[in-house]
Parts: sequence; C-alpha cells; structure tokens
Amino acid sequence: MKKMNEKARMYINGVLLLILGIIFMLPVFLIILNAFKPNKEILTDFISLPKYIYLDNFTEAMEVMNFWSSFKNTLIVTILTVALATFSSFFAAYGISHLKGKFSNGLYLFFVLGQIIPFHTVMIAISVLATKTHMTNTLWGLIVLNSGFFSAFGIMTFVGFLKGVPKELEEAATLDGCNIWRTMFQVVFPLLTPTTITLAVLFFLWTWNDFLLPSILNGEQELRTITVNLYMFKSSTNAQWNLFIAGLTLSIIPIIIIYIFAQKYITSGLTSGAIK
Amino acid sequence: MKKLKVISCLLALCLTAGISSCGASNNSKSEGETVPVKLAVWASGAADNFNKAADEFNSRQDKIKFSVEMQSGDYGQFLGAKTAANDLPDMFFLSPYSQVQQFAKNGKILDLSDRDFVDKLYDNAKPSGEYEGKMYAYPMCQEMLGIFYNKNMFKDAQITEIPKTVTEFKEVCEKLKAKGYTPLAATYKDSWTINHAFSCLQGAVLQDNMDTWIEEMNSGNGSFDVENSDLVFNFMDIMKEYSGENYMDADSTSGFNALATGEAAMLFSGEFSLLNLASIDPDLPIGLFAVPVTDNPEDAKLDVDVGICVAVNKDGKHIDQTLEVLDYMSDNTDTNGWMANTADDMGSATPCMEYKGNFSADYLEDYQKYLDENNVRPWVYQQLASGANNIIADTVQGYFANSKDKETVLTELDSKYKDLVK
Amino acid sequence: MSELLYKKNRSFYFLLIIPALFLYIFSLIIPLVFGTIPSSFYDWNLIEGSKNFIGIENYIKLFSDKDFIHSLIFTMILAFFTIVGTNLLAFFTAYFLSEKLFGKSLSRAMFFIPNIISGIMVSFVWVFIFTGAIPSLGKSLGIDSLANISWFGTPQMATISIIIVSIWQGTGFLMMLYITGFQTIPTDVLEAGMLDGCTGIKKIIKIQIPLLMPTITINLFVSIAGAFKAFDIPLALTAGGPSKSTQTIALNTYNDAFISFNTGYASAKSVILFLIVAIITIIQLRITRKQEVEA
Repeated sequence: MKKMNEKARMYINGVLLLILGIIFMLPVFLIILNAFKPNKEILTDFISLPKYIYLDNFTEAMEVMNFWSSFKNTLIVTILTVALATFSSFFAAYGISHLKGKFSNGLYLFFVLGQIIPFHTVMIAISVLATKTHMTNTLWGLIVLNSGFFSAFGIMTFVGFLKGVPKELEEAATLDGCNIWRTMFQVVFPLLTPTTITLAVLFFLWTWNDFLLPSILNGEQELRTITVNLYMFKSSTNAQWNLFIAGLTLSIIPIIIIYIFAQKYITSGLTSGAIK
Repeated sequence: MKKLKVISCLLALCLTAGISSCGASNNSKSEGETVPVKLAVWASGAADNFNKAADEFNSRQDKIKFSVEMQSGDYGQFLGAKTAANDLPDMFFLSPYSQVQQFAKNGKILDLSDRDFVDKLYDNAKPSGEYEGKMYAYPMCQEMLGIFYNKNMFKDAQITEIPKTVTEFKEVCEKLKAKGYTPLAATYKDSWTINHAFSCLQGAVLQDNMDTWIEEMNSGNGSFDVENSDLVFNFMDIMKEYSGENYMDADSTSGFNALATGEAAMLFSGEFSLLNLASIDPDLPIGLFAVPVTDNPEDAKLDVDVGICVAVNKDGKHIDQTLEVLDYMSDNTDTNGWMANTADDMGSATPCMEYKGNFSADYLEDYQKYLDENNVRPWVYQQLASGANNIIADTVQGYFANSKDKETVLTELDSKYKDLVK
Repeated sequence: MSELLYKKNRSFYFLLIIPALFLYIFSLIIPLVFGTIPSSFYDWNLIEGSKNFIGIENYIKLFSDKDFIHSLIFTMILAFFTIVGTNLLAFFTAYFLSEKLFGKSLSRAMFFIPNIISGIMVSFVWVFIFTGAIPSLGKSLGIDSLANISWFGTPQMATISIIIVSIWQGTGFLMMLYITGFQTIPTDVLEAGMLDGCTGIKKIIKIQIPLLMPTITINLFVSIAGAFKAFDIPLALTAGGPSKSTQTIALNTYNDAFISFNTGYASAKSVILFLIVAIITIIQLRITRKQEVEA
C-alpha cells in the first residue's frame, strides 16, 4: 500500500515538475524556434511556430561568424581552462583544509575575496598587464586569466565539501601505507566526484560564454571565440536578429551536450557507504 | 579508468592544437614582405561592406594586407583598454569632434593636415577632425538625422505636402492616426535615440546662435534653458502623443523595424535605421524631411553631421602603408573603391566630399536637395564636451517616461554638464 | 592526525597551494593592487592622458554623487529580491529534484538550461518576450491588463523586469549546487530521522538545512557577490533606464570608466564597491559558518 502511494507520488510530482520545467524553459524554446524563421517572420510573428523549416539563418550565421575557427578556439580555451582551474583549485583547497591555524584561515579568506572583485574593476589593469606579458592575441592568455578568476570559487567550493570527508578515512589510508599523494588522489578525490564534475561544468559554462575578456584580449579574427563573433550581430544601432538567434542556438548546443553527459555523474553522487 | 584515458587524450590533443595555433599566428607576422594594416571599427550593420572594400584593396596589390576588425561589444571599452595598454591598432574609428580632440591632445594620433583628402572635404565636415587648427582625423562619412516616412502611408492618408512647420507636423500626425496608423515609431527605450532627437530639437531652436551657445556651454557659462526651449519640449510632447501605446518599451531595433514593416508611418532617426530594410522590404518607398520644430518653414533644416572619423595611430609600426590605405579610403574618383563598396547601399552613410555614387533611393534624393540648398545644420551634442551625449540621453529619457518635468530636466542637464566641463 | 605526520606533510600542503595562488595573484590581485587601487587616487582621464595625483578627492566626491548613491540603493534593492528569490526557488526545485522522480534528469536539465546562456543574450530575448510575446499572448487570451503592461515604462516595472530575468537565469546555477549538497547528505541519517517522525517541512528544517549549511554558505556568498556585481542583465535589459532609475553600481562605474573615461574616479567607485561587498560577505560567512559548526 505504502509502496503504491510512493510510486504514484513519484509519477505525479515528476509530471508536475516536468510541466514547470517546460514553462521555465519557454524562452529558450522561443530562441530555438525563431532560429528557423526568416527575419521578417521573426519580427512580425515571434511567438508562432515556423511556417516551414528555414535553414538559411544557420548557414549565413556560420559563415559570418567564421564558425569552425571560432569553435576550435573556444573549445581549446574551454577545455584547458576547465582542466587547469579544476585541478589547481582542488590542490589548493586540499592544502588549505589540511593546514592548521590562522594562516590557513587567512589564506582561505584571501582566495574567497577574489569572488567579489567585479571584472570591470580590474579590466583596464588586466589589459595593460596582458599587453606587457604578451598575452594579447593568444589562447593561453585566456586560459591563465580565466583559471585565476575561477580559482576563488573553486577553492571555496572544494574546501566546503572537503570538510565532509572524515579525517579518519585519510588516517586509515596512511596507516595502510598510502603515501600522501595517493591518499589525496585515490582516496579523497573520488569521494568528491559530484563536486568536481559540478565545478567542471560551471567552469566550462563560464569560459564558453565569456565575452569581455576575449573581446579585449583577442582582436585578431583567427583567435576570436564564438561569443565574440556572435556579438557582431548586435550593435547599438543595428541588430540582425535572425543571425543572432541562429548563432546563439549553435553556440549553446555543446554546453547542453556536456551538461547532459555530466549529469549522470552528478546524480550518481557521493555514496554514503564510502564515508561510513 | 577508460574514461580518464579518453579525457587525457583529448586534453593532450587540445594542448598540441593550442600550441600549434599559437605558432601559426606568430609565423604569419614574419612571412614575406606583406605588411598588415588594421582598421578597428565599431560594431554596426556596415561591417560586411567594410570587408568587401578591404578585399578590393588587397586584390589590387600584394604589399599591404588591409583588414577591418570589427569590435563586437562596446567600442569605448575597446578604446579604453587599448589606450591604457598603448596597443592601439594602425587605424581606428573615433567619434567626431570631442573624441578626436582628446586623442590629439594626448598625442596618440597622427597629424593628417598634409594629406590630399583635406582639400576635398566639404567645409562643414572639416571641424569634426580638427584640433588646434590641424587635421587629426579623416571624416569618413556624414549622416543625416531627420524624419523618415513611408510614402505609401502618406498617400493613403492623403498627405500631399511634407510638413515644414510644427503645426503642419501635428496635422500630419492627426491624419495618420485617423487612418488607423501609428504616426511615429517609438525608439525611446534606448536613450541614445533620445539624445539624437533632443540634439536636433535644440539645434533647431538655437538656429544661428548655435556656435556662440556651444562656446558658452563649453566654457561653463551656458545653459540648456534657452529662449525657445518651450518649443523643444512641445515637440517632445508631440512625439509622446503620437508614438503609440507603451512607447517606452520600444528600443531602436524595434522602432527601425516598425518603419520597415509598415507598422509606423514615420521614424525620427538617421539613415542607419534603414540598414535592415533590405532584408525586410527593399521596395518600400521611404522619404526624408527635416524635423520641423518652429512655425517658421525656413527653420526646418536637415541635421547633417560627420558620423565617423578615422584616426591613424602615431605609434603604428607601418605608418607609410597605413597612409596609403587612408588614401584609398578617401579617393572619391575610384568607381570601385572604398566609397563604392561602403556608401552605395540602403542605409549607408555618405562620404564627406563630392562623390557620384551609383545607388539611388528616395530618401537620398531628398537628402541631396537639402545639401544642394545648403539647408543643413550640425548636431549640437557632438560639439559639446565628451560625455554630453550620455547626460542628455539619460536625463531627457526621464521626460519621455514622465518621471521628470521640463524644469527638472533643464536644471539636471545644466548641473550635470557643469560637472562634466569642470 | 598525529602531530608528527602533520609536520612531515606541511611543506607538501604548501606546495599544493602554489599553482592556484600564482594564477589568482597574477590575474586578480596584481591588477587590483597595482592598477585599480593606485589609480583611484588620481584625476585621470584615460583618453586625454592627463593624470594628476589628488589624494582621496575621488572618494570625497563619491558622497555627493547623487547618481552613485541612487545606484547603490537600487543595487541593494535588486540584490535583496534576487538573492531571496533565486535561493528559495533553487532550494525547492533542488529538493524535489533530489528525490526519486519520474523524468528527473530532464526536469533538472530544463531548470538548468537558462543558466547556460549568458545574461546579455537571454536579456535580448526577454526584451522580445516582454514587449512582443506577453502582449500578444494577453491579446489572444483577451486579458487586456496583461497585454497593456509597459514593462520598461516606469522605474518600478523596469526593476521588476530585471528581478524576473535575474531570478530566472540564476536559479539553475544555485539549484545545481543545492542538488550536489543534497547528494552529500547520507541516506541513513535521513532514514533515521524518518523513523523518529521527521517528515515534510520538519525534515527540511531539522535535518536537511543543518546538514546543507556548507552549501548554503557557498550559495549565499555566491549570490550576494553576484547580485552586487549585477551588470549583464540590467545592461542588456534596460541599460539603466528609464533615466538611470535602474542603474546598478557596476553599470554606474562602467559608464565612468568607458564612456567618460574617468578612470581615476571609476577606480575609486570600484574600490568602494569592493569594500561594501567584502564587508557584507564577511559578515554573512561568519554567520553561516557558525551554523555549520553547530550542526
């Protein structure tokens, strides 16, 4: 009896949330829908279904945006940023959470403050710094700077979740003969998989969507990222909505794929058994 | 474990790709004798045309590779960052007057007084690129602000004469409204359009006093409150009355599109508002007339001013080549050159010198008529201190949103502008 | 851990911190300490190149800058509603989406996806929705009051529009972190609670919230920091209009830096913004981290 109720609840709540989710997603559906309409139809009939499937927006947007070249740049920058930011944050968080006393607290706070520095505050200074260190018009410049920006959030999150890992576990591992490197990587790191994946997805997202930094640093067409080229369709006096929406739709597909792929790992979660 | 391997392979792949692409970009710089010359431009619908014009230049010779880099996003941000880092491109767009003067004062741009284009420029275009009597920038094109109208809708509403006075203008609006049309397309969510409008209106009431007024303003003694300010606000009242419901919700793009799709009969803006017309309804007949602010028909002059100045980086690496490109850009005899590629299109700005283009449109004929009769005047805001446009835009927007009355608007304008010049 | 072992490993822990420390100092601290903070003491127009040392004059000027003070107040109002709104919505969606549920993955994806598009992009689309889609929906349903709303006509409505879009966009991000947090609550603790009669609201308040405190700390911190930096959505949605009424501090500072190029003054504003947010978040961290210890 109780089981039946639970099952029914699972379905009713599930469907309810799906409906809510669809409503929540409506604006995104609208973007995708309109990417398949000619410009005039977008302007005069934004909320209707396309009369026929119109693909010229995509081909034209891809050509103007220099799509494959910017896609390649974005992918390189994003993947390397995710790797660098995730691992450096994890290492630092591991170090901070194991060090004792005022020093480690201070270090933690020092990193955390980074999260509240608005990018515009340092934009001019970063542009000067990047020019002096020859980081403009390079991809590695974006990777290094982005990783630096993200480290605040990464460390904060990792430190928070490292607290949940019982110290006894590490002690046991040490007693079993694991050296400190193996303890960190093979015992503690796997326990934080959901956190790591979540962070990696967020870093991916932030780098992928980043506009200001690449627009300032990389002016050269061959080194531009997707978002920078996407913005060409929207200026203060002119907007080519059809191309903009089509380009936007193309640019979010990789993130959706990554998210769906990563979700399995997030949900599989931290098994309570490992902690016991 | 398997997955980890896949990921690490991917990483390695990206690393090598990243390194190799870095290498590639370095090589291209030292390759051969071709010298790259870059022109940075702000984002606009005209970028395609600029690229075409650059390709044409490159196809004619192989010593210089001229490329146009459109800055997506905010151009001020780009200028600021590049100036701070002393990393400006060979050539770049600047706003006329105040921005040219600032860069010249800072010693960042080259004196172009001895170039050929200087003598060819229309006289009224020259001041936009001058600083201390020298020409520091090439005024590339001039733009027209006025009222663009749908000729078909005017015919429908039996309007045969274009309005030359504010009373006539109001009658036109009434007729259009009676016909069930929205007389004016709203653009007021974007405050920069309001700056344009206010500038034209202020210019119209200042008339011949414009130069003295600007001098007074820039020495810190003037006031936005002038003899006929009432007329300025009267005209804005008309705009508010005839721009349809919820006019504060419409941004420039939707206003431009409203004219193009026949939703509204008139639009108070510049020729750039017609850029998208080609993709929406290229055959729509659009005319142009000067904004009538007073009841004297002679006061109705078209607001024409330089819209873009091109400056040359004084510290550029290839100044000779850059100047060669500039000559190409300012050659008004070249029938397939810069001007033919960038000015002969619906919604394109026109060169600041005599140029026989091969594109015709109704609004351009109207424009030419105003030019021939010398019935034009410059825009007020461009000659005020840099930043005046934002003060005007943001403050006057309050009048449109009904959150500020006339007195508040004028006092706020004065106090903010005084802060700016100080 | 034994004191001896700790001493032995200490240098290793320090070494671990170095890469992140280097990246962080290079990208944020050097520009802040050697760029922004010194320039806040100058009367510096970037484009004109004039640069004069004026001490703390920029900071004094701030207090009589009406637009700046207005933007500060507006940012606080916006921050309050956005922080509360996103956190509540994110917490409850995460709560439901952490249970066994039909179509859970799909629902999660749909709540998260708005967050994957940058704020500027979604705002452009929302302008279309507010001014095009909602009015025509209202008309077709015959609800005039819905069709005739002017979403950007008054400061109040413009503020509401910004809040709606900010909450809509920010929820997915916090939801994801809350879901991760819910995953870390051991199931046996919940089961034990259930046996003791802790269900529904009681379960949330007595068991889950205390155990979620580390996540709540992070989420509050992130949303406070984010709300005070609010820039993309207000810029693309209203650009601070009508008439500067919805200008956030970040926008206000930005205009000084890149429109009038008053780099010195803009730097002073940035420093003040940084200090305000630093104080608020430090207080918040103190409060919520204490709760963590007690739990």
